Amino acid sequence: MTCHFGDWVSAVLDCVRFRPDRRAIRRELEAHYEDHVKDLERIGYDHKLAQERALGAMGDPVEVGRTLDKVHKPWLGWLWLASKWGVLICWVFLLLSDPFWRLDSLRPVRRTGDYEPDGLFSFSAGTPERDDSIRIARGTGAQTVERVGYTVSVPYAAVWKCAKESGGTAYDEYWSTVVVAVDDHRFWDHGPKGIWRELEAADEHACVYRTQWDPAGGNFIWVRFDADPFRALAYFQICQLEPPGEWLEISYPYGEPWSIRIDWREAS
Amino acid sequence: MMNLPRWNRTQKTIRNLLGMALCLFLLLWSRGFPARTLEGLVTRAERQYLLDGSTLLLQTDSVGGGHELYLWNQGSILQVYYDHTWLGYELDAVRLFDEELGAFAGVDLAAGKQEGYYPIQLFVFGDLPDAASAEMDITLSYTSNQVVSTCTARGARAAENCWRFDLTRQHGDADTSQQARWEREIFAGSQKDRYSGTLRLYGENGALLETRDIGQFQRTTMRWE
Repeated sequence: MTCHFGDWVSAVLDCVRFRPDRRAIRRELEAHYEDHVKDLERIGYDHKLAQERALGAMGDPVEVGRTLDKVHKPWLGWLWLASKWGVLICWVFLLLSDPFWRLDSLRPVRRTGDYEPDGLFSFSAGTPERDDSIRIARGTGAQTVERVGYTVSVPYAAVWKCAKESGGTAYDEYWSTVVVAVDDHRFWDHGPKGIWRELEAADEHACVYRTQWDPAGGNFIWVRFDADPFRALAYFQICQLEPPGEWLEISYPYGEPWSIRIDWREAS
Repeated sequence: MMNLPRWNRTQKTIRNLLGMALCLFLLLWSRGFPARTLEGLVTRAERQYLLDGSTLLLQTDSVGGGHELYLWNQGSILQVYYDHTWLGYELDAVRLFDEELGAFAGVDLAAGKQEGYYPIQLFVFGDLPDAASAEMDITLSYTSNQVVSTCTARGARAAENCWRFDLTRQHGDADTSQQARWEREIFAGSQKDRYSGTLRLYGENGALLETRDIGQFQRTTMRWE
């Protein structure tokens, strides 16, 4: 390579404003020039003459430089470089933040159908309550409630009866399952988490069941929670010795208080 | 073998920017989509209890590495714990206190030790009459019923309906009594502190407007324990 070609390349590169590309451009121009020199030598030119002819064929360095500068736009070059590092850094941050534990929250929760298809759900398979309980009544909330963009409803409620025996005396025990659903369209929101421990239930016998645990009984026990980005389901259970009556009412006392009534109807 | 199309710089830049946007979305999702503003954070905290239209009573900075807000809403107090990160305001925990009169006290570990001891602040807020000044007789106890000291502190208005009282040490360093030892332990951040007090509110002319007894202060120690 002659020093003339070195000057020519420098003149070209001076016109390219995006400096990080200059090395690659230099390599490409050198490769092009050397290929041309070798081609000329192959057809009989001596080395020096081949270099002169090849250099002459490369054209005016300023014109070539300006053309290359148009192709290697500085703003695009810098944006490309920034985006390259940006995407790398973002993914490292993402992996460090361990997002995979939230994948479970994407699984859609139940929206229709039977919320306890296999029996009294809070007892595991094989237990007498699960196997022997009979669903004697079912119901759904008579109304839905709209508050701060949430729709609160009771899509399922059931009363289960289980025949038991204690000290030779047979008796029936009852359980009520109540599913409270909250729907919204805000995927970035995680639902009204605070209300689950503030709900109350009351029945026609004026019995009040609260989510705060009371060892004396009368508990509205929060036993399960499922949620996806658009729906949250909370399962509650009431254990009682007496038959449940005609209705149950779920209420919430804060903000604009509300209640949803469930009228029991005989289960088929 | 099929060759993949060679992308030019514009296409690569667009690909990278889309990759960054996706990554940022996933990052926000993994952090529970932090709110962009404090108002947004308050709205989310309110929604957890189906509330709206709260009044901000108090905002404390850097309590145990996070931040706290106290909101007044129709007779209830919302206590909001949050973190302020570069992604926004991340809601940590929200608690609702169904009290007309809120009383919180805490050893401010985040403020750091001053002359060897942490500052202790007590807050009283809620449904209080509009007063020009406030003072409180404070009883400091060790665990449940061992009285360490009593003092009268003047209140500073921290927010509307909110008074702050700074507790000062009543026993000197040279004091070797049991009470002094307990007090030093409490001011060193032992978390065995309990507070009760009598609040007095005064009008512009210095007339006593109201007296309230506060049997027990809630301790703002959720993040410290």
